[in-house]
Amino acid sequence: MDTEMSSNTNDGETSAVSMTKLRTLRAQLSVLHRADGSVALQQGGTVVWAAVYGPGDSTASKRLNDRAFIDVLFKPKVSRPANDIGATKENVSPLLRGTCESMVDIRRHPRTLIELVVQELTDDGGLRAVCLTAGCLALLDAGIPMTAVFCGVSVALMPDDRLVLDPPLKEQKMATALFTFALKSAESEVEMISCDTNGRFQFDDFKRAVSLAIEAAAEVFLFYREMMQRKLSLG
Amino acid sequence: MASPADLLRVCDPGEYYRSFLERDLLPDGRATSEFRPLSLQLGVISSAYGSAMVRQGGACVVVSVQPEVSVPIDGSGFIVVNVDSSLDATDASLSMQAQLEDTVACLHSLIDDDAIVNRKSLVVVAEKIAWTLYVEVLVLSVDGGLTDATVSALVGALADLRLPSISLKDEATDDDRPFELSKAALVISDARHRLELVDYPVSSTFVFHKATCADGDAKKRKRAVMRCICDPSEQLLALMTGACNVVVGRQGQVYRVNRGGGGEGVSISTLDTVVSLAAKRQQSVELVIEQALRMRAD
Repeated sequence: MDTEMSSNTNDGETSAVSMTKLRTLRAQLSVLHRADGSVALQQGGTVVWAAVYGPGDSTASKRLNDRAFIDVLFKPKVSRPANDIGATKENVSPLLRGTCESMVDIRRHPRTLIELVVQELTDDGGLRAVCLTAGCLALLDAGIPMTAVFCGVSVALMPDDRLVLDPPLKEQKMATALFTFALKSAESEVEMISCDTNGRFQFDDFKRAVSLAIEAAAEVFLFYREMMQRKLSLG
Repeated sequence: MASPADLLRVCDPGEYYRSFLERDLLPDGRATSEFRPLSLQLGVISSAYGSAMVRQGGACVVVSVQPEVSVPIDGSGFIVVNVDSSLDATDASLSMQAQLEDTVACLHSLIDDDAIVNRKSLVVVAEKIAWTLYVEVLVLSVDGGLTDATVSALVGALADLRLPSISLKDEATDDDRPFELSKAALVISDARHRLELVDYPVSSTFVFHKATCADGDAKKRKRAVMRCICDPSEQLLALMTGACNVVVGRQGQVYRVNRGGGGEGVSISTLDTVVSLAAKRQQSVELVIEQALRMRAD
């Protein structure tokens, strides 16, 4: 099921419009047949694949008696050594793992393993946020019980104090700070549950970015609804 | 015979902590807005050019810095961090491993953003000589507060660092031949100088607790106050998911706001409280570091 949500952004240029709109979202569910759930997600120029395996059997080291063990594996396009200072910037695993552990109903499947693998294919800005979105879509495709849905949104702070929503890589490189948010939607209310930042900023900039992200997330959740309706052939 | 309180702590930690948090207190006697005391000692490793040991609450971390001469790339030197923990891989709980991972990410982020030291200032001779600082972080014990203690120890060690003055023996302007560090003759003087620190970033960790409402009124529950708990202990960290780590510097400069996921959303007003607490903490920790530097100089 291929669904496209268009928005009138021009992917590369900086204009007043690009400040408040997400880039075009396109996704295809169940792309990997061996996985329990998978998605190929494209947001602007950034392309990410995510796959979910589980809930299934695990080794003793990954078995918890009262809840499911969530293992998140992020695969960058180019692997770098652990000591590489630049590499940890793009590592979405801790952010995604923490978010999944709160959003997935882990108490329902104790002593099992839920594995989420996210593969970076192209990074054209906002990679971590796109990985978060892909993670949720893959979990939904796999039918894993969740307490709420979540998505990722990235906001860049430019040197002239302007905020750019979902920046392409060119703009992201010029930014003084990049914020990645994970937002959840429960009972039609959007809240920010996780965040990570790169760069330096004033707290007021962060607050503005949170508000912008919460507004933008509504679009992504609408996209989820469309995707799931198509998948389950409803309306 | 264990006291009822100890039994409650083992059987139902949530209820145990809730009884304290409802009164804005923690079991060790401090208020939820108080941090555990920080003790900082500089120059603890005499063989290192710079070192610091920080004890915050139950976390004890030692950081040592060894400078090496290298060739600059893109007009800046390098800082390489290696974290060695005494926590046995099998013993360390998930929560501790996650903390360690977060600490490393935090350090990398601070170095990459030139928050403590501007790596360009590590260049001694343009395009020829620069310092590479090898930072060894040794984690001795953890009871929450790992990131906080490690960041303060790193700042302390870099503040304590005394670099020798070096220069090239013959400043030959033979630019056609490529510069080879191994063949260069260096003059190393006994004079030592300190690094100019750009800022004194301080890390603070918080967890959140939503005050429960006795009645089932959903609207009231939503408006229920979100309590910020400063500097949680290990057990509290494992109990409450969604710890928030904030690194602030002087004059409201924020370097990192990280929250790795928690069931409850965090509102702007909660973050306001968090950042103001973190800013106050930054001021008090900066004083501690400056005092330690003065004592070292004596």
